[in-house]
Amino acid sequence: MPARRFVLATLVLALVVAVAVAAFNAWVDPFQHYRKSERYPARFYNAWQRYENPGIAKHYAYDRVVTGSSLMECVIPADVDRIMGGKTINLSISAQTAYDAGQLLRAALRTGKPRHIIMNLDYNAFSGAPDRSGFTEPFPRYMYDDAPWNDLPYLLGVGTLRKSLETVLGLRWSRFNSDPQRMWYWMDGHQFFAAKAVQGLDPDNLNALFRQPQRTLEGMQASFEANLAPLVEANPDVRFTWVYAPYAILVWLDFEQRGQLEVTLAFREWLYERTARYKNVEIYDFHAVPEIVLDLDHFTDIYHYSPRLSQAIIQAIHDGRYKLTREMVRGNNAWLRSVARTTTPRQVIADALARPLPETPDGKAFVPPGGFAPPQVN
Amino acid sequence: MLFNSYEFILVFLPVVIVGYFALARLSAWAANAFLAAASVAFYAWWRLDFVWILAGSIVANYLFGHKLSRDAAAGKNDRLLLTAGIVFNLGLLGYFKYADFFIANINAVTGASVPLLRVALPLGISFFTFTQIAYLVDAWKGKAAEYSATNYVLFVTFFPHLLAGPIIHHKEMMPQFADQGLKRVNWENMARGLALFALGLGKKVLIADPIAPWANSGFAHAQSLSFADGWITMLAYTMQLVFDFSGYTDMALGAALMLNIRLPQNFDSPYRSADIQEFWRRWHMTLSRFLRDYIYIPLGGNRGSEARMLVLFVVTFALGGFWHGAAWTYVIWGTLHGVALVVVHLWRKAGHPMPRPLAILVTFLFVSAALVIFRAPTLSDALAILSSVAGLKGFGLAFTVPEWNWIGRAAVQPAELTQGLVTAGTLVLALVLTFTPRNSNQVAASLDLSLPRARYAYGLLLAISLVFVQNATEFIYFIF
Repeated sequence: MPARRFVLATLVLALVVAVAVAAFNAWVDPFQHYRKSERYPARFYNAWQRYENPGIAKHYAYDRVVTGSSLMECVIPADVDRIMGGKTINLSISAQTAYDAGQLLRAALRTGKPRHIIMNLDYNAFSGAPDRSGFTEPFPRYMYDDAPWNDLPYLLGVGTLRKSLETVLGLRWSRFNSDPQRMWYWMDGHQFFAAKAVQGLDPDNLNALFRQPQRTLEGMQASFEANLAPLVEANPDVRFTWVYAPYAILVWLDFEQRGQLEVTLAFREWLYERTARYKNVEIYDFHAVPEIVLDLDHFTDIYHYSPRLSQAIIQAIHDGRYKLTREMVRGNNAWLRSVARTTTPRQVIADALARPLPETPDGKAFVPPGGFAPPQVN
Repeated sequence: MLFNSYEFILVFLPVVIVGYFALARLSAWAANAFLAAASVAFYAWWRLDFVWILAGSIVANYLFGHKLSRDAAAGKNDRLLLTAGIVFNLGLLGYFKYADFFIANINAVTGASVPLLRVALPLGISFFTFTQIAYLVDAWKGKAAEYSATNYVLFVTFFPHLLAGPIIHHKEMMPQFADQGLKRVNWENMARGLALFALGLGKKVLIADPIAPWANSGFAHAQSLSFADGWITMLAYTMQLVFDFSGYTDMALGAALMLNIRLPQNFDSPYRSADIQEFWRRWHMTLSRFLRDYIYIPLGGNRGSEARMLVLFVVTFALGGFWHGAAWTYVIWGTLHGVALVVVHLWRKAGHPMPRPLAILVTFLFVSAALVIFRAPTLSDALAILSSVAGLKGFGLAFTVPEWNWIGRAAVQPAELTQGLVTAGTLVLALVLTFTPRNSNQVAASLDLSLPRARYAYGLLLAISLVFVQNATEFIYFIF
């Protein structure tokens, strides 16, 4: 009976091939979902952080998590450990949204390992719906739980298969790091100086290059309440250090251009008041530090600052400098509003282009040892 | 639940097939009830609360239809009841699909600031509403029998067609649900259904999905496309849509055939049409049938003057465009097709036949250009892309879109090159397959099941498709 034979043979062949693929992927386990990579050197793919980080959170040893967007990807755990002690892991995600962070931190906290979390707060991370991921593909939730029965997309997926083959055959088709201290590090080859920071900017439309979405205060609040607030409340023994990592001042001029300035400032004030009740939360604010944000030699574009600054920020947090208070959030907001309204993008870009080229390849060498002076409000 | 998901392919479909035929040994009613319940579960998998809308629509239409059928049988012609039934359905569709569109337009015209309702669109509402309007009209005409409640629920919810068609007709479905002879496993149907399902899955995950990032990125950069970019964007979407939608339909027809149910064909190599009239006989055929039988003919059809008929072409297709979505781009897309139909009619009348290959090329280009309007988020983006395609921004061959700007660049990452070549190859393959003589329906229907290589080929196709299912994306027509 050819029809019956066709059905059975087709299904059996399809299942045999599928099981073979799943077994191979489970054996190689390229995203370290089941175990820390030992058969092959670990590969940390920037483009697959949403898949890799949950496994890393599960199988690596640490007591502190550094996470956030690309701004935090270049924080080196050993530097943090040297300054703060303990054992740090960097679980950052490019274009991380509050949803991405919430899912990842929930998975990490479930392991019981983290006692301290350092996370940068990008305003854009709170745009859109509370369940918006910074990822165009569907969010891989199955990588974030402990249930084996929903792992089929990982075990059978073509993305996993490709990475398994690359690993076994030693191919280097995709960019990756193998050093656990620099899992997501991307700054090699990048230069940090003012002319570079303003490259390609349209002074009349600063956002044209970055295409960041619009935000509403209500939307940002909803995103915080859905993704981060429950973690803080459920883990009173874990210290949450949120960091407003610095942007070049042009970001604030962009906010002003797009009518996003007041929304952003209102969110800053709201978030401070909202979290003031938690003993396990502290916020550090580097957005209104003139020596940083007005000096474009620290940046490679208007969002991303140099590795030296990255270290200095960790040191400042350890020293307790720039920790927000009610007065500070108001003072900083006033300064940011004042600068954003009295400075023009053309003027900042012209100044940047007129500056001498840097003395060192990674930008301005100085970070004032005593910290940065508080902003002066005009 | 998506057809191209592990839960559907590996769990839902096998369980439904086994359960259906096992229950059919006990009772035909139990088998149909099981199939209806499974179909509702299939729908609820996406969002439970919309099941109540589907249920309300089914109950109301069943009651309307029951009364209309009885009245028709008694010689009564209750036009008021029919009107109430149609108003109910259009009201449901209007509220969920079109309310915000009308509010936004009223606000724009009058300067008012009526807040938008922002209601979520229940999946498949356009399809199950049209299906039931046809049923009511036929019940009023006395052409629809009084069906059992179970079979009526199954008719509306039958999972292969529920979310994105084909738009079925009660006359072709109800006899199949009632036929005891179809309640036993038919291995011939099972084999050809499986083959068609595998072909459809392959079309979706191996062709449409890999092309999608190029189409998406092209539309995202609509305002800055070069001449070459514009053509890549237009062709990528034209190919993505047909392989996505016809792939979905193949999977629907295949899954139904495994249950011994034959759904109407919805695609017949549409891009090989030599004019727009032929195109609509080959593209979304069940929608064309609905538009003809329930809009064009009731409005007068060919019965009036030629001028009236031509106006009706445009009106019917404009409404067809509006059915797709609450946006002016859809209306313009539909209207353009109506106008093209008028042009074809007048051209034929003038007696200047075009060589078929040229006619196919012209039709394909028109369809592709119109699809730019169909897909673009705004008319401004659509016009920008069409300007690039037409060379109004110059005939530059620069490749500027991130997905394909590796073409001609000296330094290319291996991963970027591999990905780019795979997508480019898929796009070329799609173009070739589109113009090959046999489509998936014909391939599955004429497959020699006794050939060992057929088993290997379909087994491998199914396995490879399963591996590519990981990047599960929704079918484009789910949003309509």
